[in-house]
This record gives sequence, C-alpha cells and structure tokens, in this order.
Amino acid sequence: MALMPKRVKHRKEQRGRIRGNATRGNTVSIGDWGLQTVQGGYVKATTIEACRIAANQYIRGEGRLFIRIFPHKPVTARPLETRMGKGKGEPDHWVAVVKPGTVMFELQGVSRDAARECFARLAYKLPVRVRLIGRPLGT
Amino acid sequence: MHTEADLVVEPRKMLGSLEARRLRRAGRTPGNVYGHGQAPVAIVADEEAITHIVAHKVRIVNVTLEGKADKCMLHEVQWDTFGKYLKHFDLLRIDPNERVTVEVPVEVRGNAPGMMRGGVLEHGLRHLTVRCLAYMVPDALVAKIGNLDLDQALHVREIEVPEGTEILNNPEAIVIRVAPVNAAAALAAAASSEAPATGPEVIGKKPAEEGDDKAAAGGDKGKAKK
Repeated sequence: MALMPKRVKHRKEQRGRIRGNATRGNTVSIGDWGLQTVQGGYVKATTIEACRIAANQYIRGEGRLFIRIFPHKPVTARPLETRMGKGKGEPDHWVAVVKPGTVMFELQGVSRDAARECFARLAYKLPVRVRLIGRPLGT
Repeated sequence: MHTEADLVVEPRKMLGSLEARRLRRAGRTPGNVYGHGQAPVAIVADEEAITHIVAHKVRIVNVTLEGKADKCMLHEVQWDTFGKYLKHFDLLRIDPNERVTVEVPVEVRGNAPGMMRGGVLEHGLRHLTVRCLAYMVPDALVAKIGNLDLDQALHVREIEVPEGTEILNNPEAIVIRVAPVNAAAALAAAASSEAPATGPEVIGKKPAEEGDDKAAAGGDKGKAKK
C-alpha cells in the first residue's frame, strides 16, 4: 500500500515551484548511508513503495532501510477523453516534493559497497538524479 | 587525528550575509570566536586552512588574531547543502587546565553474536557528551558489542571511559541494541500500511459534505454557463 496522509486540510493543492536547495533533511541522520538527490522534483508514493520493496529485497534482513520523505502533496488529473473546463480534476496520486540535497532513503547495518549496489537499484526507479553519501564529517 | 593546529584569522570589518557570500567567493570562510567571558569577535579565515583543521578533527586550535594568541576548540561548523564547502565555523576559547563539555563519537567494536542470529544493530546514541580537560578529550568512546545477543542492549553505564573523563548522558540510556530483524521488518510494513485505502479525511468536513460540495460545485458551474 502506497503512502498517503491520513488527514488533510484541503483535497487539492496548487503546483507551486521548487526553489533553492534543501536546508533541512540534507544529511544522513539515522543510518550509515544515504541516498541524496541532486535535482528537485516530485517523487510519487508508488515510486517510494517500489523503492522500499526493491531495497528490502536486496538487503534481505541484513540491514535496515529508512524512508526520509513522505508524499504530502496531492496531484490531480483529468479523466481520459474529457473536454477542457468543468473545473480542476480530481486527486489522482500523491507525491513527495524533493529539493536538491534532500536525503530520501537511508541504510543502516550494511557496508558501503552493499549500500551502493542497493541504491543503484533505487536510482533506476527514481525520477531525479541521486548520489550516495555517508555520515557528515566528524559524526 | 591531530591534537593541535595553528590558525591565523583576521577580524571581519563588515558583517551580514552579503559580505559573507563575498568572502566565500574570495576563498575565505567567515566565523566567530567567543567564550571565556570575553566579547565575541567576528573573524575570517583562509578556507583551505580551516577545512584542513575540520577534516583532520583537530581538537585544539591555536588562533592568532591581530597578534594575540588564544587556545580554542571548534564548537560548530556549517556545511553547504551537499557537504562540499565549509560555510561558517565557531571557535570556543578554552583554558588548557579547565574542563570542557564536548560531544565524542561512539566507536563500535566487535561482532555481536546476535547479529549472526539475524539481528541488526540499532544505534541509540552515536555521540556521548563528556566532560574532561581540553587536552584529554578522547577521539572516540569504544562500545564493545562482543557479548550482545538478540534483543540485548549496551547502556551508557557500560561504556568504558578514560581516567578524568565523565559521561554526562543518562547512564540508563541505550547506546546500541541488537534488534530482531523480523520486528524491524514488521514495523516498516506496518508504517507503510497505515495509510487509508480510500483517501485521506478532510479536516472539518464529514464524508457526506465532501460529496455534496462536489455536486454543488458541478451544479453551480452548469448553471453559470446557461
């Protein structure tokens, strides 16, 4: 089951703009290795779920995966073969807004090589360019 | 890891983010030096010199400011979003004979038998707060996990510390734990299945109202066109 909020204030949101770099959530905080974006973009809830499954299949209980992003934003879509107008479309799916520098996933209890291999599998699924990072210097 | 290093700094004449950005473009890093009952001073240092000090985890920095020497410790550093460039640093003045409070990383040593039986290591604390003389700050505190079985934990009170060093954390706090992996997987699965199947609840509206709103909105628009 893909992630989505339990309660929201409004069913629909405006798109907005992704400006600047991530100033929070841009370091590895829980695990040993992190997958950091170098681009901004939207990551669908279904993509996050696919990444979770792929990572857990790869690590097979040797380590732990932490998901640091959550799809808070609803995206609407118009039904197929309908004319324009008649108001905004209905909520279709949920996305997580990521800014460049956001750490999306973390791994704990695995070696650097295993983390690299695991994150490479996730990178194929993700709509943004990513890189592997370790814990900040001195931590 | 080096114990001591020298750093020549200059006072900053102009303050503010604009000036700080200008300094960074010129290969210099803004910072502050404070502590020991003296007034804080805004300083600037050569980027290479201060990055070298941070990268080598130097404990004590001999700071020379306008010909006056001070012994300092790195108190805080700020990195850019991608962790490539040092943006700002704070130096704390110290007295070599005075005790200081610092954060020291925990180094895990050994292989826990619990890990061989399918457990994973869960870090409760990656740093411990210690109080000791500035010259005696340990590089790391060793957490020996050689006898940890599944579901067992190492507490702060069980960490060995060098003489003259005191840990300020709660002695009962868990430093490291060998958690059963099935429990961890179940937790992750539960977290992912928490979301409602139909869609989220809209705050301040009942399910019936939501449906009415949609109908009303469609109806109004239809009328408006006519």
